Amino acid sequence: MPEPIDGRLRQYFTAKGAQPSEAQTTDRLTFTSDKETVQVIIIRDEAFTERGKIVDALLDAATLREGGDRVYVAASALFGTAMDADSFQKHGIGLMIFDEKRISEVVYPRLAQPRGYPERSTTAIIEPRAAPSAADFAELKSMYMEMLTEFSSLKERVEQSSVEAPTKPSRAVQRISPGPAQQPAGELPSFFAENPWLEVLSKRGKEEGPIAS
Amino acid sequence: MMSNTYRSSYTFAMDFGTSDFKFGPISCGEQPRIIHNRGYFPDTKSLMHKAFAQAAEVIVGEDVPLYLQSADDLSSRLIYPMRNGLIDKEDEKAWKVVNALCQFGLKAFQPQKSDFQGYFVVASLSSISPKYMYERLMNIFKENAPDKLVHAVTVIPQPFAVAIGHGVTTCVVIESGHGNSQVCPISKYPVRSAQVAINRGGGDANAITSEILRDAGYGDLAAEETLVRTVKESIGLVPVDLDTAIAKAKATPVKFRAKCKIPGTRIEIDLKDDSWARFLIGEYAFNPNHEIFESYFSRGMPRPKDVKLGDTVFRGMMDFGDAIITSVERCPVELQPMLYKEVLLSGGNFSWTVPERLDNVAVDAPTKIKLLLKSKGIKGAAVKMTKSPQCSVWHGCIIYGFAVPEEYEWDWQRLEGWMNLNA
Repeated sequence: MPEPIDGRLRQYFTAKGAQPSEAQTTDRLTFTSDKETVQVIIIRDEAFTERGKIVDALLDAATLREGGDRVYVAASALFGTAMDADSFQKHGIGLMIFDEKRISEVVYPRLAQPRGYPERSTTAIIEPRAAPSAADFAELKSMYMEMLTEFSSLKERVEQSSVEAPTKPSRAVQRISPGPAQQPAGELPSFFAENPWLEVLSKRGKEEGPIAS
Repeated sequence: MMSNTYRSSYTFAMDFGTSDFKFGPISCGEQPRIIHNRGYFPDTKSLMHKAFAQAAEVIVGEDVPLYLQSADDLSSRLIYPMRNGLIDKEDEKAWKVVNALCQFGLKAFQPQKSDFQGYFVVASLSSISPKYMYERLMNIFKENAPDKLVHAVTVIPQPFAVAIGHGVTTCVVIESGHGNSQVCPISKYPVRSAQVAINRGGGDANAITSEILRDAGYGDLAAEETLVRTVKESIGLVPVDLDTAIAKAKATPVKFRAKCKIPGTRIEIDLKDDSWARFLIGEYAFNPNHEIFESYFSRGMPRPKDVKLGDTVFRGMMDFGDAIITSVERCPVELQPMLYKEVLLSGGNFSWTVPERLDNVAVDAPTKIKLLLKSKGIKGAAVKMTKSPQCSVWHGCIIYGFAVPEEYEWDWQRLEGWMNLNA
């Protein structure tokens, strides 16, 4: 009889250097790896016959991901035939398909980004990759040359502009050690703009004293 | 008599905060120079001191770390003179540090121009500073100011400077620093008789963070002040309502998980199932009266006490809402509605962030103050953070120094005006 899938998944992640955490159930495994927490939610064949089990598992996965963890759904091969990996990729949840012999990492999970930040696609489909072709290298070389030309042109423009910049007015104050930026002589800082205290304070000594102190 | 043009170049401000000393002339623009408000007294008997006996009695500024010796004697040699906003009259070591800071500040911006006849220096102290602190500070300028660097000097309370820097002439300012908090109504002048001082500040939020770390199994790290502060700033949250926030965090611990990495180290703090405790940190800063804090007090965390320093009683357990109301109600009734319409928050203890996904459970400092006031019957209060929390005191001092007429002489009753050092 094959080893239960939770045990196999534990071995799988341990082999990758992750540490299983103490709080483990047969349906959910938690690992800590380097700086992150990895959660694995298991959907076995029996889930098809249990009402709400699959939806619960997927919603749990979405909540865990919101909490900042890297989340996988590990589903049996039977489940895999019914689901589209693109949906997992779109929502940043990892997908692992297992059968009695193998565990395949089909979609690599992404960490939740703060709202408003574009999410980077980090899908890693475990497939043999073709070695880069000569055409790929040629394209990279061309991009590199283009960037080099652009950089030289920018550098030239920066050097020119620093030469042409007007000399700053001499400062009333000499700084002895590194400090904050200096205001041009004679100019008042921006917090003076429309400040009603300028008028109030300029009348000090020419008015009645404080009203309530 | 100096012209406005002169003062537009030679007005100098010094803000003595509980942790930092911010200083510089008007020509600094928006941002003054900032160093720690501290001084180090090197061991004059040490071999190193004898070999390189060039060091001053007190070291201030960026050089302090170069002189630090063993960690054991830091507490007696590294002095933060204004940790709680006040300096004891007889605390000569602390006054030596203040003297060194003033000299350091002025010498760092020593003008070379021939038209320079001394700065108009505006120093700012905590609003609860007793008169002797004004006297000692004035004396430092009178007796020890480097040659002709100071033309005239004045001292103003920090909340008053905040109101000036923010451009509001009628308001209540709450300034909350590391050691304590001050509430001061302003109506063109600081209303000194209505001030309320609270014996609680950022340091107390650090204390409860330390207890939480201990409970979560990080007892070995809980004594490291800098680490505790980093954890507080990283995971501490101010709840809308503490009970609701704790219940939600316990129901969905993953969503509320409090985890942070200490920069530059391998240390990672993860409160895991205790992540609900992150709400205690913010609540405690604003209101330490919830019954949940009793368990921490009973286990040895010091309860913020009412203390009398000088003539001022610092309230330990008073929440910020009560403090504002107490202060405002000491003002004329006619003035009170106008004060509630401009409540200004200033100081590092009000810098609380709200993670986007928790914005229905956690709030920022102005919202928390509004909620506290609302719960006590004050509706429609307008509470704001100052435009530049870190520099608003310095900004206010610069405006004060530029605008107040030179002929407005220092008055010990009013505690305002210029003390001309060349007179």
